[in-house]
Amino acid sequence: MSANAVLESNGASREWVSAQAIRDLPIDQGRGTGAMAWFIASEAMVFLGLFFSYYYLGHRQPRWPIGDPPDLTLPTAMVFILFLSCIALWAGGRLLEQGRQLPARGALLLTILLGCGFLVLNAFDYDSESQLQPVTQNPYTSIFYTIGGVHAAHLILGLLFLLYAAVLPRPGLTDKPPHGAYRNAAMYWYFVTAVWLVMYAIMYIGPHHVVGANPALH
Amino acid sequence: MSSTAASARLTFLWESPATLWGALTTVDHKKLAMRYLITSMVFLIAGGIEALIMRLQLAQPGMKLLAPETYDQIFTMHGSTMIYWYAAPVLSGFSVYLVPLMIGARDMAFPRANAFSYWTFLFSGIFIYTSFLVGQAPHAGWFAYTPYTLKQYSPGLNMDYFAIALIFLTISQTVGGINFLVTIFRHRAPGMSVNRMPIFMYSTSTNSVLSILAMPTLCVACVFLLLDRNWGTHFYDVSHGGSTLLWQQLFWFFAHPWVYIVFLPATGMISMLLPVFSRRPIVGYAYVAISTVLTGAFGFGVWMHHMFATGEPLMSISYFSAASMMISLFSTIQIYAWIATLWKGKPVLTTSMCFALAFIAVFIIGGLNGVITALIPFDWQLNDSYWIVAHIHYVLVGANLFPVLAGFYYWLPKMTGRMMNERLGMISFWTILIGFNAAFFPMHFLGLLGMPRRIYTYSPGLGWGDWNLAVTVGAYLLGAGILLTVINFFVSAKYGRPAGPNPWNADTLEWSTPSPPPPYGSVHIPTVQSRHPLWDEHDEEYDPEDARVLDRERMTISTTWLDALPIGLAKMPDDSIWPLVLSLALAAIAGLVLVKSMWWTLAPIVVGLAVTAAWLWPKEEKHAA
Repeated sequence: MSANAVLESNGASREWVSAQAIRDLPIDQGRGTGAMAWFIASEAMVFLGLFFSYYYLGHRQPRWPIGDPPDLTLPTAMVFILFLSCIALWAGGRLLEQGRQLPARGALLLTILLGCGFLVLNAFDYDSESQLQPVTQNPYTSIFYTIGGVHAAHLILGLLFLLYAAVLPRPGLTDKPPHGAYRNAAMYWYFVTAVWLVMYAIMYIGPHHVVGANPALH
Repeated sequence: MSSTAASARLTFLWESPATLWGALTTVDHKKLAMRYLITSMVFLIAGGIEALIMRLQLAQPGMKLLAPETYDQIFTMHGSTMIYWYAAPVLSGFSVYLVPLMIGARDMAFPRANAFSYWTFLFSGIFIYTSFLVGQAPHAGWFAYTPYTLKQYSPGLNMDYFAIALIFLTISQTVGGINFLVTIFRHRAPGMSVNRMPIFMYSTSTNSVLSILAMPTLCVACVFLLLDRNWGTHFYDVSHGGSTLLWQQLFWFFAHPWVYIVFLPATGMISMLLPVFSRRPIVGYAYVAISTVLTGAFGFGVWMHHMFATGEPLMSISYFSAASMMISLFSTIQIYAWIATLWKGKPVLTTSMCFALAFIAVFIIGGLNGVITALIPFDWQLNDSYWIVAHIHYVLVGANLFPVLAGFYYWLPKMTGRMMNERLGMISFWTILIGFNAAFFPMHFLGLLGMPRRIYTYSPGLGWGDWNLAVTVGAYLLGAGILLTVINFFVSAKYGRPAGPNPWNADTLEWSTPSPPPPYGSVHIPTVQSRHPLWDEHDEEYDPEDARVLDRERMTISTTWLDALPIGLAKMPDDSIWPLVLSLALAAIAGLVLVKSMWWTLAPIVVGLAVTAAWLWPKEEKHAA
């Protein structure tokens, strides 16, 4: 039997992907989502490094936070604002899946407005807090405002992603790159929201409950 | 349709014009990879020259060739150049070239991001070297320990250059890592399931995960340093309640995984070429693959062995001591697999193979002289001595430079289309091997004799002079050996005999294309049915209906990440100038932060955002009629 005949007899292995199967393939729209997932993983490590530094700087201080714990009013309101923005964003995604472009864009704009509202409150909060404790006062203020500043910068980036999806001719899945801008921008927005929740737990709620002497030193 | 017509259409689609504009806009992974390799070799030579200057200063006691401040700058730039701008980027160069060809894809998943990674790497390197022009190069070692790097001890621009350049390089590495992962897990040829991937894919993807997860803490540490130095915060400043060890924690959390970043792809290259030259498949494929991934995972759990002498609690450093011993198990598995492959095979001693064998020997020495310092008391004895210098060079030169040279002798025929000269290669190999051992083995004795590292000179009468002279002679011999290989490259690229598609009778897909490969790779996207596509009987390019030619527009096939079943056709972008412009905008931001013109940075930031929007904006792509 010739070598070619051996191959022919093994027909399935010779052409296991049929020509028709390749021709019927849809346009791949998932690459960007994969990249966004890894990008978020990298960003999560940025915040992990920051939270680690928050604890590391605190673990030999007699009191942490140094001075009074931060006020909770505005940060709590900001949690709700981001929560609402995520609901709007999620609803917009569902509308887009149903092919309703215009209301989806409306939801996107609502998300952006709420995000801007968050930033305004954030700036207002830091302005009033930093009058009591300026950024350069001690390690606590340094790390507190650095984490906050880094988060605000990421939130602005998230807003720009959303804005970009909002002005694209087709924000949903298309056969032209970039694919699924809405989905990828939304992933990032959920991520910055999640980071704020962690910040709220670690830097705002936490100090109100373990306030006083650092237990590690006793 | 004839194959020539198909390849003509593919060439029309994928080829960048041979003009300056074409060179600046190209997204061809092969061209970008050649630039990566050449640029990182230039950095290797720059770092090497710095080493040779240092070795002159240290050749005898009390030399006055360099002033202490100059020595500090040269010493820091040697370490930084080699570790950040040579060791990892040279491996990125190999990966950018080989990953798409080995998995049968037409290009990387994000070709423009690939161009952006290269330009950002280039500009970050140029940026840090401009510090020499103002005479304020970084001067606190590649590890840049605080408090020495704080403003009160280092008032110049030196450490600002360092911190900004590293943040800049982080961007390049992170984008590159994301690109490799999406490429490897979305664009493998149909049928190349994970258990059929070349080992190089395991090492490149592990390396990419490490880059993505480890570099952010370096970035955080550098941002803190810049804030402390220039904007009055108190992260590292002990006198205001900060922690000087915070830098070391963040830095080593990054820098230990970085050791594996510069090492794992190199072992991946050895796992590719050593079986080919042993004329048999690698022994223990699954064990090699798993131990590659586990080395990466455990690489995140050993960073404090760089800090045994800093007074951290014994309980915590004991854990890191145990983890550091454990991680050597995974490298050991790989080494045994290579030895078993040699044992069961019929080794062919080419220059490439000689470098691979030398790598195994040198790396075993580097592993042994390192793993004993995982014992805490032993580490306290040898800490900050030349023993550690010997260890770092045995592992980094041994596990990076030797595999890289093996890789060059193995893959350059594919890249240039011409064979490297074997005789010159062997002369170069022996010069490098002897020079390397002459340079770094005596450092063990110097360490045991108590010579501290990072000193710019030493007094006579300590018994260090003769060994240091030997080190210096060895270093020059090593440099001469590298020079011979560089000469060999230029001579062979022009006058070498033509390589043909598969000069080594190798098994992986990159050898199925002509040498050098055309811009689109192979005409038909291959299908794969075994771990060794070119050694089995399956015809990878069998495609009578030309379904896998994809010659209408730039496209490649997307497959599932585990089984590599086809799921879609991925449209690939055209050439673009935007990646270069975006990198230039980043360079402008870096320069403006250096001179503290913070408001002016808004201009390049706005430009950068506009460029990104233009880059991503949907548009009509190039079609072949």
